[in-house]
Amino acid sequence: MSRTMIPRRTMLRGLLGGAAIAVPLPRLMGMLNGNGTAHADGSPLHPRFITWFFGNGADASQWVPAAVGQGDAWALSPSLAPLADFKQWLSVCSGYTVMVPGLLAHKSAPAAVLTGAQAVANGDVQLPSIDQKIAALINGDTAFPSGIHVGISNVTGAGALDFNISFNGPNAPNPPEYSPSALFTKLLEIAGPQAPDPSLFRRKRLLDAVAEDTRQLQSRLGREDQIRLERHLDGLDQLQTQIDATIDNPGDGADCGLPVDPDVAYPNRGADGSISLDRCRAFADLLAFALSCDLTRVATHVFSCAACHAPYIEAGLGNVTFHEDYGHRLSPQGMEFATNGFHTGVAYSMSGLAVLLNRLRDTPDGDGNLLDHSAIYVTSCVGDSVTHTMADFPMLVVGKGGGLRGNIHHRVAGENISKVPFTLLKAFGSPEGSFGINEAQASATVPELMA
Amino acid sequence: MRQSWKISLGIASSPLLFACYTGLAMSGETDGAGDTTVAVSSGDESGTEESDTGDSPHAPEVPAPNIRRLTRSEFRHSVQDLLGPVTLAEVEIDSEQDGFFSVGASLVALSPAGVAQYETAAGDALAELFADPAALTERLACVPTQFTDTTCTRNAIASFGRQAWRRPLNSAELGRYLEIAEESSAETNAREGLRQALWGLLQSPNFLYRVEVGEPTEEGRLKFTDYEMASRLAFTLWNTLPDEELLDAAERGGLSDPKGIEYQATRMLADPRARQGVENFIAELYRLWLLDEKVKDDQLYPEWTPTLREAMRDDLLSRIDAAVFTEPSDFLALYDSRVVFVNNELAQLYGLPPVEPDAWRAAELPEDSPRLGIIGSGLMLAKHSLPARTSATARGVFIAESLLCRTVPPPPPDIDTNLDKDEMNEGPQTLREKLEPHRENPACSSCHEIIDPLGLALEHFDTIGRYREFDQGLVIDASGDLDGIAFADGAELATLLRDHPNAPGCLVRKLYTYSAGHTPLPSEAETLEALEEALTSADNRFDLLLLALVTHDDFRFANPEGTVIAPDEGEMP
Repeated sequence: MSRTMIPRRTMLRGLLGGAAIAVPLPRLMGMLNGNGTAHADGSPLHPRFITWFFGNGADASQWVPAAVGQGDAWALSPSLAPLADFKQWLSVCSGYTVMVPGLLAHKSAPAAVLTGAQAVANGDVQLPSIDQKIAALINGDTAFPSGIHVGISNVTGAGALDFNISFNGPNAPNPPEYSPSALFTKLLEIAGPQAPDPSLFRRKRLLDAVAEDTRQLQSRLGREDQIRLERHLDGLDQLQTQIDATIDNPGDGADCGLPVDPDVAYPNRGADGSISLDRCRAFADLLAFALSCDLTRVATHVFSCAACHAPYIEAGLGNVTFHEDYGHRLSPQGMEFATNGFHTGVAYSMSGLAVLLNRLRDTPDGDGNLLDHSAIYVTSCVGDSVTHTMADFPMLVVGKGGGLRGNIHHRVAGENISKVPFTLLKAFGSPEGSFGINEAQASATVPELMA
Repeated sequence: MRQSWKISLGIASSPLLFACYTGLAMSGETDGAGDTTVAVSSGDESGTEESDTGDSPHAPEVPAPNIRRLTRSEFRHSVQDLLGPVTLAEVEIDSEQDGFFSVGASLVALSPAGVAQYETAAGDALAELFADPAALTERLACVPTQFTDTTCTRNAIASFGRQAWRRPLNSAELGRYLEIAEESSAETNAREGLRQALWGLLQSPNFLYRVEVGEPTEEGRLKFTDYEMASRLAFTLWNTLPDEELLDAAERGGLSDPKGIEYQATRMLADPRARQGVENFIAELYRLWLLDEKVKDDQLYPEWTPTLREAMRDDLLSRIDAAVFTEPSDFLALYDSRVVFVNNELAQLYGLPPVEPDAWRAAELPEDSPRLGIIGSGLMLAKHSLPARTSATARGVFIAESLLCRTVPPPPPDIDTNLDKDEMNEGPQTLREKLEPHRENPACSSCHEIIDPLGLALEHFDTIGRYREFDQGLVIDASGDLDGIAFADGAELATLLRDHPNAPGCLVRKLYTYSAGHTPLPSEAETLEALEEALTSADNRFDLLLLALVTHDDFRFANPEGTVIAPDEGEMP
């Protein structure tokens, strides 16, 4: 493997009260050029990209800030109040409309905002999602070329896109990892301190043999199966890359420090697949570690899937499905209770987002912090959950990565929502002239979002 | 040999539709019963149009088979067949497409993270087995003690590989994994070397995917090889790998004709693993996995407990098991049967007396029971309800889609689906009254006129499936009609469903979709008709339907008689 890993000496490990904690440090200046804006060898310091998704939409009357404009001209809305600490990084894009016909409730809209195309009838997508398009641009030389994909709730939604928000193409989803422990183990294996381990070379040899099997089988199959096995080969290759990174790791723990062990830091976070802010914190720590150490530059985070049926117990909304009782206002306690509960639930989702933003802001990176160098694309599966409308769709961009301006409420009158992901695609250096197809296609960006 | 075939099934590009379809969804033609009509067209399940290349009207082109990733259930059963009762880490989630994981398994690619999950799961499971010398000796053909013990290692790899890959390894494959074992054993020890080789066999796509792609015959059809037939039989009937006897039959060439297949299938249906196979079909058909996440308002329904949920699942599976295996009988009789399986907790919900000590048991509902059949089971009633109230729509969609094979599209956008708006403050309403606007609004009525009456028939059962006389103090009207035949309540509807002309054809269609891993194509209509005929002439016995399925010509060939496989260019990506 000729791939060279970028040194990940960006964290130092500290011991406090006997417990190992990770202390994020700026990328050492030796890695970077004089002003901390590029690697020492001149290669660009890539901004990071995260898609952050929550199910069941928002009530525009609570979501959309009252005033438009830049800086002090606008103030946060009730639904966005949990993001107060991050207002300077926040771009609220309101008044945008999903242009594909809403043929499939909770399915057409997320497919459109994630991929720029209508869903297909069985819930699949036609095009790769925005995170995968950006991963193809900036993530190929990391340990997770396809990105890291995590999820909080693993409860199903109303027959939507399975649980997925990341798609490499049709029939090629990246299902989320719901276990912070599993991700921690993986990151520790790649980046944590360790003694030289000859078994790693045996694993690599074995993966070579499996890849040989795969290619031989591939040659007997039709094209679609060949493509599927090509993706299997990508997975084998990604494992090889990760083992190489492990072997290259000097093993003293100083290279990247230690990721935070979720079982130590958040022992009461709840079962994998349940919703809690501690689960958001556990993943936020791990994502910040992986992004800071340049193990990946792309990630996705599903708070709850499209039309998610999960209960929001921690928000005080009871052990009932948020989608039905509150999203559709079906609570037996009446419309007012349900409407208030829905607003509480949307704000609670934003508290989950705030947890991640907090961790990114507190992680130094180059000449600033990770939030400065990230673009976080925040959206949902529906506009207003009562009517399944696709108008005034919830859409935020957070961070200043790729030259985003931040601290703006930009409102339009029913324009194509694909302009926002297209703006991000261009910010990450895509040469493409448009995003999406058919009704959803956008070939103009939103210049107001850029500094 | 290098072959390539066009694989597209086209399911993923089915048109998006609003209209509701009331006929049996089957390639645009009825099953001859002549009862139902296509009211509003085309929400069909029939997949692609036939190709019109025009070469021969009698030889329509059909796409070739896909490889299928083992479903999580197939993977778990297969690993445990190979290694014994080991702990298995999570592997990548199944994708339900067109109602079945098996269809998703034919379409969806494994993600890179999923490849890593298999490496971990197989490695950990093998480590567990290798930590137990007695179990290891029992599981493997030979366990080498020295690294010079090449014959032993070779035998162990060849034997394990034949079972895991459902065919013998060829010499290149055997050589590849023997080399792995030898290199690793030189660095460690002979047992570790063998473990490495087996780890590779379990990570290979030859294990992780069902490779059933056939060989071309002189007539231009693709016929599954004997080993592929062993795999097809085992996964269809047992939801796991073939056993030694089945592989031996394949080796002898005993699975290339209906007689040899019938012999093996009959043996397999008498094996306990057949129950595992049918249970998995039922679990996919009725989406039993969704029961685990079903929540009920805990203030209103404190009776909704994990143990009650489990009892409901076991009730349904026990009914199926009894009708298919214990006393093979009319499967459709389950649609209006009075037989239930209960413990005391579920008996209380069904209004049946407790027994002391509590025991899992068969019981019979009273003769005048308003609760009958599968639609009256606690599982179906609770699973298709909301946390705090019933859902006539969800229950109706279940009946329409799962029992009658009628397609119900999702609601159109910009529609307020909330039935509980109390701005008029008219006092309590029954669900039927609340649903009236649905059926008056033309955007909703084409579907709701079909599904609501079916669901409203079950209004005598609350959100956890308990009988009730009243809804909010109001008398429940559970009457309606199914295709013009009136029913007074859920019990009468249950009997109409048992006798419905769509019922046998729908069961066949579901089983065929599950087994084939794709929604039936127009060119497979004759096969479906033949299987329906086999079912009805066997007094609707499901075990005999399984036998008819696996001995049908269509199960031995990738494409139906009279069709040709469309080759593609087969370029490597």
